[in-house]
Amino acid sequence: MKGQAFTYGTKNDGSYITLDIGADQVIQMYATEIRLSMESDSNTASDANGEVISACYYNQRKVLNLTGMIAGSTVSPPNNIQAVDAVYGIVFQAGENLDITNSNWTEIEGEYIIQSAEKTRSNGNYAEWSITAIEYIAKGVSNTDVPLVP
Amino acid sequence: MSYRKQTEEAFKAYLQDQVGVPVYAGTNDTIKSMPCVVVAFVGASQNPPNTGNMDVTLTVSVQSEIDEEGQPNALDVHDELLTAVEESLFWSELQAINVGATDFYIFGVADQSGIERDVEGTILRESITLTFPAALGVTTN
Repeated sequence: MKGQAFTYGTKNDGSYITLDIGADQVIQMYATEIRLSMESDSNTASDANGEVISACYYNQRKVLNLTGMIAGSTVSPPNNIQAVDAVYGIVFQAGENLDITNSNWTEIEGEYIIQSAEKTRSNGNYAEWSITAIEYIAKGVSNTDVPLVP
Repeated sequence: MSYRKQTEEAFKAYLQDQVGVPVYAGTNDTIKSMPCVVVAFVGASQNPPNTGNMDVTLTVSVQSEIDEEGQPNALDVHDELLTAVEESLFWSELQAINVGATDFYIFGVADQSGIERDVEGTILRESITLTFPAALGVTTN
């Protein structure tokens, strides 16, 4: 065997992540890290011996942690340094909508709510945004419960 | 144009306006006239991945011929030239290299080291090494 295929890096088709956020609908982000978590809440029922006999999972949601550099907007020249600086300075708040499109990893696409966000500028590094956003998944209840098999 | 050529050309053009002596790119096929300034692209590594942006290392050298039978006060002239070059490379001045940029853009200076001195025969060479993130094709307005 001469090599092994793996999924590598944050992108492999040359595309940026497009963010619809604040006043700009087509912000381009070069992601340095994308972390997608699948979460839910749960309740369990136990018998007299303390063994779990039933579990219920609900509030299923995707939680997206996105960190990266802002590479401008498709409505302004991406390689214009002043345009990129202006896009970096766009104002947004936690609780706002965040729509994400990405041709490279479609699983992260969706309509999220921003839980928290940071803008970071530090010496010797490119400036970054870090966003934690959440999307609840509208999942219907199955008409057949799945029993726990002892 | 390669990063090597573009970087050297940009610094050559910038320093030519700052000092009153010839400025040469690192590799050239002309005979150097002393004193002079030489800008030499040492190397670069891509950062961040898959962007084409590079962390570039560049050496700027001031070279003079110090010879008792040569130009009088050559050492004083060399020191003045070195001072002018050094001041031109501090970010407060160097950022002017980006004004009107169309082919080459420096985001800042991450590291500046030197001044290293070496003597070869009657040639005195003092060098400053810069490391900076840069991009080709970025414009300023």
